[in-house]
Amino acid sequence: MKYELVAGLETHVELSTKSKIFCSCTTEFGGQPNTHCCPICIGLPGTLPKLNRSVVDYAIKAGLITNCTINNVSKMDRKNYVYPDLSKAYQISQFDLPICKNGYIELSTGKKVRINRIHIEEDAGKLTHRRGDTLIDYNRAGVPLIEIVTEPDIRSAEEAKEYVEKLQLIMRYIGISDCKMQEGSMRCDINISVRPKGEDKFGVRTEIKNMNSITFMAKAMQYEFERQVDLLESGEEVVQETRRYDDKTNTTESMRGKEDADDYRYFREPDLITINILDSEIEKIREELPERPDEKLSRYVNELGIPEKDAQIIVKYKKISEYFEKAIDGVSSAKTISNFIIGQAFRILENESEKEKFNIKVSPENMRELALLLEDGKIRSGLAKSTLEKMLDTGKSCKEFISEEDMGSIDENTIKTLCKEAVDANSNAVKDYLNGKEKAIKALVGFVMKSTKGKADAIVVENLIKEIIR
Amino acid sequence: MVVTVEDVKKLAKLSKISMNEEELNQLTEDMQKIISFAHEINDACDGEFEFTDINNIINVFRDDIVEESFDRKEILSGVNGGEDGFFAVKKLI
Repeated sequence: MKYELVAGLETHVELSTKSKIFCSCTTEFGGQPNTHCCPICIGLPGTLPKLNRSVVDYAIKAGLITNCTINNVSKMDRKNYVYPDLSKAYQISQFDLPICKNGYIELSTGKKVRINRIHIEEDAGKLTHRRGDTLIDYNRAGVPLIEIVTEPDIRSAEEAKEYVEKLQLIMRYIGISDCKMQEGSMRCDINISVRPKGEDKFGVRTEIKNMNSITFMAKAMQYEFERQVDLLESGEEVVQETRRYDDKTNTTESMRGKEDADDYRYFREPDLITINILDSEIEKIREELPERPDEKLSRYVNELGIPEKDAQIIVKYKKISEYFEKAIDGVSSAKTISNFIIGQAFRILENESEKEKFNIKVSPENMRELALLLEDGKIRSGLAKSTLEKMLDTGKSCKEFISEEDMGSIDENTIKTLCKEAVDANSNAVKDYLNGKEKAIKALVGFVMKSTKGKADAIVVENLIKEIIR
Repeated sequence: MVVTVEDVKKLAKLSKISMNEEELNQLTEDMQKIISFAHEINDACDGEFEFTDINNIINVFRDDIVEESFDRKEILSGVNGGEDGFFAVKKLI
């Protein structure tokens, strides 16, 4: 029998507000244990939470960019559970009136992954288990999170991967989170079940908690899919439970039976009052939203004529696309700039994190100046590239490396003379070429280019040399 | 709402309390009384009044401004057996 994977994702995204959700402690990552704490976030009795306005605004932004409806009336609820990562024995979250509902993210196939809800809540502290003890650091307790819950629309590990990557990109674009999975500012829980292909009813699901890498998430899904299929094939049942993924063995193992939602005894948080969001506030936030990455991509390809592969690279990094848009202002071919960025600038950026930061020494204005010289035919592309490399090394403007003389055009007679010189001085290369070694001509062209400092047009030179040799 | 023995069994399981038959029956009866009392109070409200929004106060927010956190000594002052700046508890799970 053929089986189909059915999965839904719950993604926690840590918001990049400066202060925590209910108190004014910093949200900064790391720090000595328990130094970003106050009586509110360590949950001392008698303290009162006060909601950070920016958390609500960030959640609205996240909702609007993922096509959600924003609830005008929203409230906070207590989710009760006993575990030392939250000392209050409950987490302040949202139950039946989340800030956002009913959105979607569109995948490259055109398929929409529906978003059921986005709600705000507080993060828990960090536990370290050691010998018989558990050590607790509450620095992270109270850091604001949004939880983005999809419908069970995902049918493969690839779809899950694309969904998470898209989510990560748009959350970075709207500037509400850095979404660094390795630092835990974005983590996914996967609900996964299998069913025979063609069947409408869902199978029994398991949940895999706290995936902190997209690669591992895809592997865990594949493993869990196969495990569940094996169980069904051998006549056994899938047990509803929470499982943990072990990246060393690439397997999942049971953590605990999944408690019913009711077991959390959700009830309204009596210490916080109703959140009312006016339509005018929603519209104001909508107007301030930046262009969506997929809209940007299609504009780059269709209006600016950037090859799709290159446009995808630029859009993938928010800083690069901002740089790119500054640099192309007034340049008639934006492709010159994208070639500069992907061709030359990328050579000095060694890894993903450097690309994300895009901290290069050349300002967008200086790159534009160089592009204009090339466009106006004042310099050739070879000189432009080598100049850009020098600019990237030193941070100086292109005028420092290109003299007036470099920019003057060379008349054809001079080029012809130089070509003759090249032929006379390289008789071996001429012989090779005449014996059928096509590449030998490049040495001759190179000779001319060198003596004109790259100002001559290589194609014209090549043709002239061929004429002389014949 | 009728409280059944099954409800109480579930609550006992969640609370990790073991109970014999007699205790279960007694507790079911007690719980029923408590729930009925809560219903009585509920019925006393006219349904339109929201306890949580007394005086029609909504949207009490704070601005996103960081203030200094507490000194760690103070944070850990009520703790038995804090270790290297951490709270420490017996391992739970």
